[in-house]
Amino acid sequence: MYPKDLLYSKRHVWAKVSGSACRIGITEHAQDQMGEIVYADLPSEGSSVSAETPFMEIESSKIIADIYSPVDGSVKHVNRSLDKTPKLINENPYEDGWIVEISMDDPKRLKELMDSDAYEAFLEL
Amino acid sequence: MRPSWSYEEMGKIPGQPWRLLDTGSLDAFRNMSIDEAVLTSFVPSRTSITLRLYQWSRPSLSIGRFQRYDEIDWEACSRLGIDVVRRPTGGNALLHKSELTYSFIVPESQLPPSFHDSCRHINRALKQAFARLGIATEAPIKRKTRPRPVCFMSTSEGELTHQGKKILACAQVRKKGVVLQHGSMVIRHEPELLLSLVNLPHDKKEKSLRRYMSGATSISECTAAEININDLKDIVVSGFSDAFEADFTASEMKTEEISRFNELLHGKYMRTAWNQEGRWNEKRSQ
Repeated sequence: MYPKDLLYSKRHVWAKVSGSACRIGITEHAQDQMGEIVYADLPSEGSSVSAETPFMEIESSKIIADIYSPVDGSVKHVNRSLDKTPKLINENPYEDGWIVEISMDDPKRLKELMDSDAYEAFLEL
Repeated sequence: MRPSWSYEEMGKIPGQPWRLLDTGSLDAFRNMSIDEAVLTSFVPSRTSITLRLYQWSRPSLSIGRFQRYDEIDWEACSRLGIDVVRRPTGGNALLHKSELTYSFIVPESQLPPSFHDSCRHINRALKQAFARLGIATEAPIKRKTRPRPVCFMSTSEGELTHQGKKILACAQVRKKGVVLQHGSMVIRHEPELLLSLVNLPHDKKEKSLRRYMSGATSISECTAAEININDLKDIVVSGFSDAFEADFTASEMKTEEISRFNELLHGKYMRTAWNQEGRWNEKRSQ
């Protein structure tokens, strides 16, 4: 449920790191709590994001919630499949439901994220 | 989205007394500006949980945060003198003409983590209020929300129905760990007027009207009693008091809320860019 090769934030966002870039999305736990996602207000490519700061909103059956970036940087790629099929986030949050790829300003901030064991322990607190 | 909520504590939310904000009848733009001002000024460690009750001084259409521009007949709204405001909360279009509206502002940490459960938890108070009116309600589960331009044409999990017909609409927004839930207690529906304000295929208007009338109900349809708005406010407050064992203190808006209200009124809710297109330039901040 929480892949070992990902890092996790306390805001329930996962990050898959590849060099100085990382792909991010929301965790299985987050999508389960939100229910069916009906709209993702995706950011523009090139827009800047800051760690622990909201960078987009999503709507799940009448509830609007912020998504927080786990790192500082700029949006390199956006998953445009979510424009038409936002429920990919529910169906496959770690693969087809990825949200954005970020070019990181400072990969050292990744140290503040949790591995899968720590995230599962965090959920059980 | 938070693991520490305890069902054993259900029904009790610490931090008494709560704040009751009755702002009376205001226009659509002021109503939404106040709600967002209270939400974004809320500091969980020092702000009381707030129940706001209000009405609308002019017939108004409120639309969901991400509702599409082309779902609304803007020309019809203008011709009929209907104000249109985009809510900060999700969902679809609502006509505010004969109703009592509530907003409930509470830290996310005080609610069940599941979004639907949080609606159901808050709506226990409204269920109590309807019961005081002699109207039994149910909270449907596993309803499939279909995208429609009008709120009362579909029912979501956590909303309330009476004999299968939707009687309470609600929607939420969550910012920085604080939840704002809107809800509409409709005294009398005007589906013909409402459906004339949204864009529906011409051949679907009659079908939509039938669907609306078969799927939605209102207080006046469910009780023969004359509804006095002040009595209804007392009933809603009692519903929250009963459901959450809460005591309320009547209050006014605070200085920082009024300052934020003025920024939002002129910078956001009175602007076409926000109401028609959902664009707002304030930088998102933590």
